[in-house]
Amino acid sequence: MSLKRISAIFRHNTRVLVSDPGPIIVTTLMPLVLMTFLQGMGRTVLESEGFTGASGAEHVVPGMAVLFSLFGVIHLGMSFFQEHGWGTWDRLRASPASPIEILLGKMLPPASIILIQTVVLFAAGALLFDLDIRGSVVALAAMVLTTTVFLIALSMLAVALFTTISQLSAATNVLAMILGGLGGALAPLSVLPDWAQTIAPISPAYWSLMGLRAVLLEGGGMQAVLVPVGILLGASLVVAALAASRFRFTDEKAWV
Amino acid sequence: MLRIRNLEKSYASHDVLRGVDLDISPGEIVALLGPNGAGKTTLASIVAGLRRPDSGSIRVGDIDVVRNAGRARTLLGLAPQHLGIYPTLTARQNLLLFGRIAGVSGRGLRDRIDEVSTGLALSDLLDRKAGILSGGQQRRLHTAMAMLHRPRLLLLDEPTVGADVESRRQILAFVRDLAARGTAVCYATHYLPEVDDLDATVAVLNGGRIVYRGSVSSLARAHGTSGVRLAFRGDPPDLAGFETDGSHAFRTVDQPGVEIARTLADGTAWVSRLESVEIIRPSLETAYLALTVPTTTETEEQTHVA
Ligand SMILES: Nc1ncnc2c1ncn2[C@@H]1O[C@H](COP(=O)(O)OP(=O)(O)O)[C@@H](O)[C@H]1O
Ligand SMILES: [Mg+2]
Repeated sequence: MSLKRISAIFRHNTRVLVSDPGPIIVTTLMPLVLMTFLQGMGRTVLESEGFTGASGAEHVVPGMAVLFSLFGVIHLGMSFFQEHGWGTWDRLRASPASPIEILLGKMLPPASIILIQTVVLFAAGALLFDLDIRGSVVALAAMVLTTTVFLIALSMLAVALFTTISQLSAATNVLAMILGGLGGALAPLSVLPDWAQTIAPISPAYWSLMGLRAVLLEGGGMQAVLVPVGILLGASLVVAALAASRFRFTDEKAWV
Repeated sequence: MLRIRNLEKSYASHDVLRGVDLDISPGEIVALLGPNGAGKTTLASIVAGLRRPDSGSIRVGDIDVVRNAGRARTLLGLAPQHLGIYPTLTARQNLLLFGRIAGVSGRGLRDRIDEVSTGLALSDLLDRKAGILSGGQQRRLHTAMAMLHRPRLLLLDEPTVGADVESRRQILAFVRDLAARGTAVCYATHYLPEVDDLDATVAVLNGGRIVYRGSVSSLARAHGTSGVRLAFRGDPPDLAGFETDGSHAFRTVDQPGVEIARTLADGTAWVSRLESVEIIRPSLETAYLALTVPTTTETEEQTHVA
């Protein structure tokens, strides 16, 4: 494995992302807009849960951050489908770069976008929406990072399973809504229907939000996020193993 | 530089390569000829490590491509048949990626980009987005991207498709230049006039095998056929032994002069409509056509499809 080659592919893919920033702007601006509209609802629900003095940002900021991180799977997936559409995938494969170097170099830039997007949302939350981080920032970072790790694994599974970009984007959009909604990213868990509360733990967003709320609302530290971090990493391993068993460098993908 | 032995490859039940042997020496340009579907792209992809052969051996230099794909790829450059460029990036950024992946960097990389873009007339286009270049310019960029690391074996799969006359000339000239400096080149094409322009030797792929390997002149001598071609105003008359194609009638014969005299002697009814009489000499073209008559299996397959 050569760091030089990974960095060459990384820089190149960062340029590709930045050269066409539309999708990134959308997934960063949309949550800001939604936060503005949903903050009041968040405050009401949090107060009814007993968090007096909450601004509502403690719900809408992590909620939107997690929801739009899920939508971010599209950035990772696109990065692969684009190569097929542009005819460059075979060129990369015929280059001296090994499969693992190609994967790392290609996945890290869009994964960083998901991270940066999350940081922007938390920063905007603190500056514009009265978000008060009561607990440990390190624990917060740990939650954000493990969520991103899970999404990288999920993206690889999506790339492995789907053969066209429209399948990928349809599946990402629907799944992000379902997993996000079920996990309490839209409306807080306490006001979801009973059946939804019962099955919520199957959603990775549930565990992300559980950890984020523990830090933001309950002032938790690393101790408080160990369980969600562990569960997300475990889920990442399972999903990554599935992806690895299905992923073929020789598969053809269509940019339609 | 390239040594292929008994290479076989099939897709599902369709045998594309049925025992291909091919050698290319350093500095040699081999024009890999064959009709559409002959397996030229399949052959190039296997050499580039993109597909696995069913059996056979392929060595690039002294490296086994199947067992040691990673190292083999550092020695070869591939410009695939289908255009592969990053349209949202500039031409220079497209070139930088493949130079850096191949381990060229800094000053060396700038020099290489200079050299390749001068050779392929891309110098003035380097800072334009690849997506807005013309078709011929994109082809030249696409080809340049395979050459940045001075590969010892260059695989070009129909590199001049969609290129205008000037682009074609530039690509051919640069390929000749590279070969003169020691690169072994495998140049897949079905466009015969390029073979002479490249000063290449020929490998004809048909029916899954290399059916001819050697120089153009000996190919024409060995397999070229002579014949007579008559052109008419309106439809050609029904002439015994001739095949017709549009307003032409053609017949393969060993002694074209004798055939012309004999045919014209019977020609009272149609001679007023005769526009031209042509003697076809054995050439690369006639040899190629003689070598690539569809094999029985292909004819069967085509009937299947139809
Ligand atoms: N991935 C594939 N799957 C199945 N058949 C293929 C595939 N690629 C090529 N073929 C078939 O293999 C034959 C050779 O194709 P190809 O190598 O592209 O020929 P050429 O480059 O000489 O035109 C064709 O009949 C083509 O349809
Ligand atoms: Mg081809």
